[in-house]
Amino acid sequence: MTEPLFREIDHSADIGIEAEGPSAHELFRRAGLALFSLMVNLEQVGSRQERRQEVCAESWGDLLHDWLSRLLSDFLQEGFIAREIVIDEVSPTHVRARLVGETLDYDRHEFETEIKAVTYLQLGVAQEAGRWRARVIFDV
Amino acid sequence: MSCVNVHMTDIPIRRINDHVWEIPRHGGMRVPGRVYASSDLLADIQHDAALQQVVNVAHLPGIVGYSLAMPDIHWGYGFPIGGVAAMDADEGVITPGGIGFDINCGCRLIGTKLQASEIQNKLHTLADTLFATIPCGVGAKGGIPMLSRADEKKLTLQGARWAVERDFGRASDLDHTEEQGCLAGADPAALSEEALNRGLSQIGTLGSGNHFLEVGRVQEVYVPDVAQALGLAVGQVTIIIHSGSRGLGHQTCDDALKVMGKAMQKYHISVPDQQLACVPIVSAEGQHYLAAMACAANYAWVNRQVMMHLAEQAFLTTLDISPYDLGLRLIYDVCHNIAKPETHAVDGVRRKVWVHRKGATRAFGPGHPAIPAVLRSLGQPVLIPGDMGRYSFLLIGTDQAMSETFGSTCHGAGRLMSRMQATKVARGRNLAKELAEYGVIARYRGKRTFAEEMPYAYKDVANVVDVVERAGISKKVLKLKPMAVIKG
Repeated sequence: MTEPLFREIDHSADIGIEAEGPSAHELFRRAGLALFSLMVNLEQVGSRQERRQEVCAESWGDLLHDWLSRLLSDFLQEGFIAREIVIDEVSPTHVRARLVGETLDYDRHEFETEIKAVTYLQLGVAQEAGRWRARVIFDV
Repeated sequence: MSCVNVHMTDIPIRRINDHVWEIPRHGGMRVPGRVYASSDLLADIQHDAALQQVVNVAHLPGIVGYSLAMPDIHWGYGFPIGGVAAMDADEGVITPGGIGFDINCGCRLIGTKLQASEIQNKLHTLADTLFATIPCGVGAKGGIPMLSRADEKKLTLQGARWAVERDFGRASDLDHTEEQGCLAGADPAALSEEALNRGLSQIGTLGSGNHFLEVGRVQEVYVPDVAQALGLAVGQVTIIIHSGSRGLGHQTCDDALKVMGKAMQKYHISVPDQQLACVPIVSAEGQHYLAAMACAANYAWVNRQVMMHLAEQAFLTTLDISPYDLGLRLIYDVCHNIAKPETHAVDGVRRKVWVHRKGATRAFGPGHPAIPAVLRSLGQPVLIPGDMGRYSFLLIGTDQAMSETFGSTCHGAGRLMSRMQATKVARGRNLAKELAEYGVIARYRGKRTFAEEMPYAYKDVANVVDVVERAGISKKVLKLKPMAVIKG
């Protein structure tokens, strides 16, 4: 059975997720796809465009925050949704990735909700016994 | 004062009276906490981490009086939603966590000359037209053509006046907007490129989440002379618009959290939650944020002003009547996510403070000079939207709010269920039909948003409003009933 991309966690006014994976690559991939799948039904999204993203930060936590914020900003400004993400390179201060997807089209894509921002509340990236875990709360 | 101690959670809280509870100073708290709630609402409040956030806010340098919580308080990030705190203007801090990502999120109540019976059989068409006219704002499609960078900067300086000068509304609207729709001290140079980019196409867009446009009617009047002075009577059609500063504001908050998170060490400040990152108000970083925050606040007023104009166009087209016969006019526009420089009495001494209101509304009493002259004798109007099925309330501010809560009151119903719980509860249900049973028709973009925002996910706003009225920090004027709601 395929591992779920993420687990949703309870927060009164916002939406929280926990993602985990066997590597930092997989964690950043899953967290990115989690963000998109909260906003749009990814099963309906095609693979019409490929984009590249590169983000730098000072720590794992900041990097995850800035990575998700960049994807969110692109979505909100241009409507770009990724249905697949390939993380080419990730270190505590740098992530480089390719994203495959297309632009939001209300006639074909079921819209779920708009996320306003990636918060720092309880934000964390942890590595334990070969598993990478992260928790993120999104402002809705 | 009663000395009954209640320890339903690990946060100690004691009853002051039927509507006010106090969290005594402990640990690093600089002031006590005060929570406005009935005992029933308090039991709900204790289900999540909101009271811990009241305690966290009490740790902030320069806080005066109390770390306050309104009866619609719930768990947010940084401040609780429903949190109010005043910081000494010279020695205090400013924190974006006390304002929120959506700077100047707020709502406006709009009156018309129409009677509910006149639009009842055209409601579906009206809802369709409003839904088509006012986009939710994801992607490049705005409510008006994309701004030039120069125009965007100008509107962040001028606020609602920018819109009025371009025929999005009337000059009189400014007299019915908090701060006349323009917060002083704005400087577009304080906005990041990313914030400006995100703002270019989002003027006239609603957003998602709890934002909405609602067509409703006055259902019940409690204070006839105030209702009459505001030109409102039972049966009259009203519109509520709830939205904020969109991506420009969200990015401004994000930018400031980064800067302040790093700068805190320099100022020897430590906070219990990174979302409470803060700097001294008088510092360069503090002043920079305040200039950017004012820009975002002004953007939000332009946004609501433009949406009001778009709503007017939708009404005129659908009903095929003249602007005169529609008689659209702004009753009042309030912000409920903001920090403002104000003067308040603290322990009998007048002090300049920055009042942070996050999910709380300014509610100044009658005669206050900050209330526009046309409304001053009444007290400040305060719109408290409920959930999309039941009802909303119009209140006015009181003198007691000035002495107890830095002139502040609640801002809405407050969530009863988390967004995740509400989504689970919605599975297998026909939500549009359930809403129709309340007599409300809905048009919405986000399937999940609609489920999260159903009436069952919220507290009954009547209970919230009863607390602020009984506590004396605002007074109920009238009740509004929704008829049609547009959600992003």
